[in-house]
Amino acid sequence: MDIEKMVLDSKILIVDDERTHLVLVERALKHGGFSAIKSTLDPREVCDIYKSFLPDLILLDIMMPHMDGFQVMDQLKELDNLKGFRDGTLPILVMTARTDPETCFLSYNAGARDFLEKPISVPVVLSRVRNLLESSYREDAVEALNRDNENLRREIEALKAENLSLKAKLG
Amino acid sequence: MKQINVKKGESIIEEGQPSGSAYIIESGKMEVSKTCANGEKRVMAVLEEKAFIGEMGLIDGLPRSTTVTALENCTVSEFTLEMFNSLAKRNPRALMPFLRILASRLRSTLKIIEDD
Repeated sequence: MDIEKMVLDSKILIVDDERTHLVLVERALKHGGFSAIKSTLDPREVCDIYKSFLPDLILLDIMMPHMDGFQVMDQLKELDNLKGFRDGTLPILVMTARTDPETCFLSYNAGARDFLEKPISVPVVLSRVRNLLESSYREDAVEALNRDNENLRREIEALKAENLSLKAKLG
Repeated sequence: MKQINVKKGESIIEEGQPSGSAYIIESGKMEVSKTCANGEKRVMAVLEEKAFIGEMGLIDGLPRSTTVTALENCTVSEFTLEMFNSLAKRNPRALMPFLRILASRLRSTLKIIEDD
């Protein structure tokens, strides 16, 4: 399993009504080797984009016109095919200039996985995105190995039982 | 989260009453007050939109330490103990901002004592 390739092949959606900031984040991700990136200035488009693009991670602004980031998260939770992280959090990294504890707490409560403080720093956004995706893929890999182990254990138990039964028949 | 309308002059939290949920002010202003030993009412803070109220009860479950009264018609969102426990289990990172809120409130209280 090539985790590095999986990380860089991840699909990322950026949602921010500030064009300058959106372009900055997009450039930072491209500079970091990501290529499957979509972005929108309009939070009302997020659900439709999600359905067709199926991003692995969304970088979401909080303070936006028409719909704030909390409302976007509420709408996303209604989708049937929403991919979440193994711990139950949404695949969302909130980007906000409002770093007061209330906003942070409410973002976590809405389901966000983590935070990025605006204005973003390129090394910070890259390391946060990479770490988040990498740990998620590693957790998935561990889970898959655990499932394989459990299946093998069951097969061994079944073979042992079959062996005992054959021995009994042979006397 | 369930939204509750609180009319001007009504109290959403009353000192000495059992703790339950915390609330987040969605709109309006609320006054946090405490009755002193001499029976005098002391205003501790006036809180506005996005402020937490009743957060200590989520941690210790002890009776309410203050009264919170609407200074104008307000709307609050209810944050139950079950929601808090579920969030803490799902995403422990969420506890850090919550601790910052508690620390900030503690500092405000210490400032009041210091100013006396």
